[in-house]
Amino acid sequence: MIEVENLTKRYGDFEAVRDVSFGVEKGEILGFLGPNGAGKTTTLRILTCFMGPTSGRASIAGFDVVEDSMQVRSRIGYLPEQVPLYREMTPRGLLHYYGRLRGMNKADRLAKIEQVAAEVAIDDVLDKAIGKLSKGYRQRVGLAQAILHDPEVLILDEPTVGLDPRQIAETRSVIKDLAGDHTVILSTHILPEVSMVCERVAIINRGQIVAVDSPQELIASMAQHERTYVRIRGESDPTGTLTGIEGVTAVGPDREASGEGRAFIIESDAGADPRPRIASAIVQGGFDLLELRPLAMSLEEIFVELTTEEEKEEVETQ
Amino acid sequence: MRVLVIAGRELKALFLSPIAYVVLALYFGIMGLIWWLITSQTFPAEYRLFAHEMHVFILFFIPAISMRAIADERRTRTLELLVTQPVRDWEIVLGKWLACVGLLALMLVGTMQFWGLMHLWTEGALDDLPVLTAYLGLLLAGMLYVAIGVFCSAITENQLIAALVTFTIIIGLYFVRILGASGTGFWQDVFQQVSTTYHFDEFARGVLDTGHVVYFLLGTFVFLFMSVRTLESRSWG
Ligand SMILES: Nc1ncnc2c1ncn2[C@@H]1O[C@H](COP(=O)(O)OP(=O)(O)OP(=O)(O)O)[C@@H](O)[C@H]1O
Ligand SMILES: [Mg+2]
Repeated sequence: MIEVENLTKRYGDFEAVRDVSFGVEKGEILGFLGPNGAGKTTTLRILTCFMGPTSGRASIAGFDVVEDSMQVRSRIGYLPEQVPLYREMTPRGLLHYYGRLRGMNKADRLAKIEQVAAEVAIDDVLDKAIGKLSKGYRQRVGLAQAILHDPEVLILDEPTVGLDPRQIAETRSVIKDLAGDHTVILSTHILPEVSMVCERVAIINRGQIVAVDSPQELIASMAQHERTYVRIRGESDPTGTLTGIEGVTAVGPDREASGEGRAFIIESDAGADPRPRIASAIVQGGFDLLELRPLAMSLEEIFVELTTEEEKEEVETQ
Repeated sequence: MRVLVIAGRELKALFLSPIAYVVLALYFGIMGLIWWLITSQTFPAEYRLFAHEMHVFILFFIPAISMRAIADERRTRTLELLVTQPVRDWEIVLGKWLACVGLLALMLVGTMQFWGLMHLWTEGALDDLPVLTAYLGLLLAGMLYVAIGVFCSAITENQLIAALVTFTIIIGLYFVRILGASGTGFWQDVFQQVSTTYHFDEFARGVLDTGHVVYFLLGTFVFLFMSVRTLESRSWG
């Protein structure tokens, strides 16, 4: 549904987006994840025909964003960063306005406004001035605007920024419900959001895509080392015993742990399961093994790893 | 069609802001005062004098009407949403321009009460033709000024700057003729041809000449075209 090929965008000498390629299947929700200034908004602005790329191509539903811009525009709904809306208008007036711009006739507009207002739960504020609405309501008015014309593709730039936890949860569930009928790209720098809402993630850093995969696959493939959590009771310090185990690369105390005994996080080479060796080493060392379990690498750690590795490389090449 | 949708929203916003009411009230107040001053000196007054005053005072009000057109949408970032609708950039510029011209037309229509009064006082002896051409001249000049205003509104997100630059340009075009008065030959011609007063005078005298009509339409086109190019550049994003 969405194809992006070797997209590059330069602002003067500065390359905000460099050789970005990815695709989104029909009905899928893709999370576009990256730290501030990574180039998320820039990429989305090219997809929404706000501006053209310096080089590369992007197409939506088979239409090129530069050559068939009008075709693309009529197929997408866009919620820009910070939800810019006319403050003096009411949500109803605003939805009629965008509906008219999109060529919907009156009967169509009336029916669709009822429908989307119910979908994003803004029925009770339809006739209040937008400037007087809470941030959460404004965000939902923005979403209503984006889905009013039943677009094939939804492009949402940080749709949950600045909301309180309850509003975030509501907005996420609205977005989740929208997938299936719509193909969605949503940008964010909040990690849990991606694993909660998206089926696939594209991680972008300094203008480049560093990974595209499902959150689960990403976690599996990125685990360069296995980590094991152990809790041990004993008289002496078990660190020496633990570091001596074959395949173990690092041992650190888990400072967050509390309770009986001492807790450690053991890192070992990926592949071989180190648990039997750890268990027998502890018992042979004369300690009591209270707890032992493998730790999965979180998406957060993968994100940090991917985006900081990149920085290290940059420093080295400079 | 989309041009009208955009113009309609803009006009509504002008009345909600409430720039439109303030502009209309002040303009009618000032023109009433001037009408009283003119008629108290010469009676029955020439409508031509009055038309010149109307021209002078729209110079002060047009920057206030056009300043928000694009600048305010840039400031509030609603422009990003507007330009990503299935709408051409020229439709946006034309819609904005049309809304401002609509408000200007209301100002001009409002002053037609004095035309009616004049008819009563002169008992039908008033020659309507110069009045009609004067109004046409005012509308055409106003269209050019609004186009300049829309352009200035497109190059900044600060409404005050947009208004000040607009005012500077249109006052300049109004007075540039004075520069020509001291010069001779070529430069005198140039300054005269560029100045709006030179062309407007002819309308106020009751002369309808295509050359003068073309001057205002061409000027309008040039500034609207530059506005579209500014919007297209997306350098404001
Ligand atoms: N119009 C512009 N002119 C010059 N540089 C720009 C422009 N827009 C963005 N940039 C730069 O391009 C880079 C990418 O910006 P972009 O807005 O795409 O990042 P982002 O991933 O959306 O960040 P954020 O999470 O802060 O929204 C940034 O370094 C930014 O400063
Ligand atoms: Mg951004």
